[in-house]
Amino acid sequence: MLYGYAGHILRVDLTSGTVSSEPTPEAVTHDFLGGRGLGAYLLWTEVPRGADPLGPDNKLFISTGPLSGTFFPGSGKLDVTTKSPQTGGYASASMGGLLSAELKFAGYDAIILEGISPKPVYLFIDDDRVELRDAREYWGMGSFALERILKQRLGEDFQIATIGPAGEVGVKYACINHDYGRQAGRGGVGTVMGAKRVKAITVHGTNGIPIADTDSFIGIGKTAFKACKEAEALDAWIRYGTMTVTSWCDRNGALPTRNFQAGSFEHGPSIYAPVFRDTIVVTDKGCFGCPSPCGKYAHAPRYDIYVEGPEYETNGMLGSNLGLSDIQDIARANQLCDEFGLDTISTGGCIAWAMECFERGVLTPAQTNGLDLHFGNAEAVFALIEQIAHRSTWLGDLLAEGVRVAANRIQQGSEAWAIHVKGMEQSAYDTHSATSMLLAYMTADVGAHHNRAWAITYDIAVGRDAVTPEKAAKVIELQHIRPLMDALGCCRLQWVELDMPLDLYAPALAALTGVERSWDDLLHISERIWNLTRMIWVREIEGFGRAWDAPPVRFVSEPATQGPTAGKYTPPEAAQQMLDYYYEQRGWSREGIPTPETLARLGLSDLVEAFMK
Amino acid sequence: MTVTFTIAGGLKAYLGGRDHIEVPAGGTVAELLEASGVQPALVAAVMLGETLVPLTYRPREGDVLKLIGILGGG
Repeated sequence: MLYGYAGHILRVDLTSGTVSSEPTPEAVTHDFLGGRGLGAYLLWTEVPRGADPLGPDNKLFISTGPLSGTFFPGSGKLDVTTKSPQTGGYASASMGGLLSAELKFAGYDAIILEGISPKPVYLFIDDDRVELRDAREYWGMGSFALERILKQRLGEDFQIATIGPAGEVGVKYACINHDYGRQAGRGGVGTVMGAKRVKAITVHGTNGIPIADTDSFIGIGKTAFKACKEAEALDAWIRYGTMTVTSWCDRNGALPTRNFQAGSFEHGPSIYAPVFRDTIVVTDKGCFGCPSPCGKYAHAPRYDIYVEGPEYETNGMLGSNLGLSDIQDIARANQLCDEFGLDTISTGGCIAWAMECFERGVLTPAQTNGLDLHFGNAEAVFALIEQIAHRSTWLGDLLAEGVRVAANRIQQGSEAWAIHVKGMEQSAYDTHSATSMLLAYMTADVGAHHNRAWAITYDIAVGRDAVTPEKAAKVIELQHIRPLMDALGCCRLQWVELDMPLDLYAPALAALTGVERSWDDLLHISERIWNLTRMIWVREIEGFGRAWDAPPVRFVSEPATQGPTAGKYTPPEAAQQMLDYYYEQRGWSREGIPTPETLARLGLSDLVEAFMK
Repeated sequence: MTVTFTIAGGLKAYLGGRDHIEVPAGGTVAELLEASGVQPALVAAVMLGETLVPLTYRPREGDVLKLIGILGGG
């Protein structure tokens, strides 16, 4: 009995239209836990080197973790892993909601989508009844319009994940949507689902999850819930969610403003959390097993639209970063991205780049199809979102490729305004003057994403421009803790925001699975996963090395234009020194490649050797 | 009369383990924090009851405000 797991993986061969079930490999759960760990293992072992991300050899792995669906606080997470069409390397996107638990209740720890369907389909799962159903009538529909229809037809008990039109036409940062506002957002996981012609996944399950020591697990779970419910920050967190951080970022020079030209927005207070809460929030919304619902369902009366959000990242990237200062405009842009199935972070990054190009005369009105792309023009933002989602204009088609590709095509100096690492647009923290956070973006294993290590607070606490080995150590520490949550199948926010004690995770997992592991054991596994994801980059990118960890040019060459960091940028040699500290502490070469000794220490030598070619 | 700041969760670790600070009223939240040796940049949110107030808010005598540490983002 594999306690804590549903026990099976569902394999769907889209080319032949067949489905099969296979046991979840116990040894893999020992070495990689589940969620992002299981996804990384499967990507490493099942997708051949050099596979076209949008071709039949690439696969999409949707994997839960052992804690998923168990009622442990925040246990509503799953991970979507694939080879990224946006970056060419490793992609992993975490998604909350209710799908993760439902999938385990249906009896599956993971779904593997492989091959390409000859026609649009949706995957129907009702316990052990699994079918590929014709989805031609749904092709072209918006994400949540389709979710509503499928719920009406199948029943409210079904949990549903969809892609929008952006995933169908191959926008490189299309996302997967679920539960009217939850996304697997980054890296183009929705693009791969669209390339496989899978419009939706519908799941209903009625089984349980085996627990090794039920009394102990429930006891630890109660302690964990009590810690969350008694947390002093709980009331603020529930009232405002991640939007709480907007004002802090603004006054500390971290709020992206007009394509990261600055970290402080002159209209900032108009998009702060109290405005959001008091003007458009309708109700709070949480994921499965959540004691602290951060989701805010909102209604923007000017547009008469409902949307979950904006949360902080979207507020920054579709708000201040585009010069938008009206919360209803940002909510509208958020809703359009959700319905079309676009990652709001990358969409904001791409449109901001286009706006800067327009203001600098690099993009002309003829190229924008008449759109006035000055920062702050909400109607132009709405129009461009739609053009990207359908690739319906020259500019929309260009931006659908992502900001790295767009800048390389346009050139004229615009490469320096393309804010990305490894081809992924940076999320919503300005890093002109925050060397830990800059390093976190440079080394995040999917590209410039914040959720691997949110280190900017450490910068503030110890000196934001300091260049020290301790800062590199903090980034590594966070890169082991936060992604560990993605391998366990639970949300990090109970720890991050509510101070839920980290020392509850190891005993909870031991009671659940019957396998004793210490917290240090779990961190060791997380480090193993991190190094395997690094090796995916090494395998997939010809000549991969240090240059791929380069920071966005702007942060190491152009001073911030306003706010508390005005006049500041990180000297390029400082960024490189941080990278040196980081590589050394990781046990990687000066080119950023894990050494044979490091792979051996992590028990990865044989696995790497077997699938490197 | 004084203003009381209670210190929530992880922020305590940055503030020498203190769980509250009492300061004489008079000044903005930012000014009172600085006078107490608290770096305002470490404070993500200041709550007065259920309401988030800015650092420019001027507490009244007897106010009890909660300081919440730098948050972890979205």
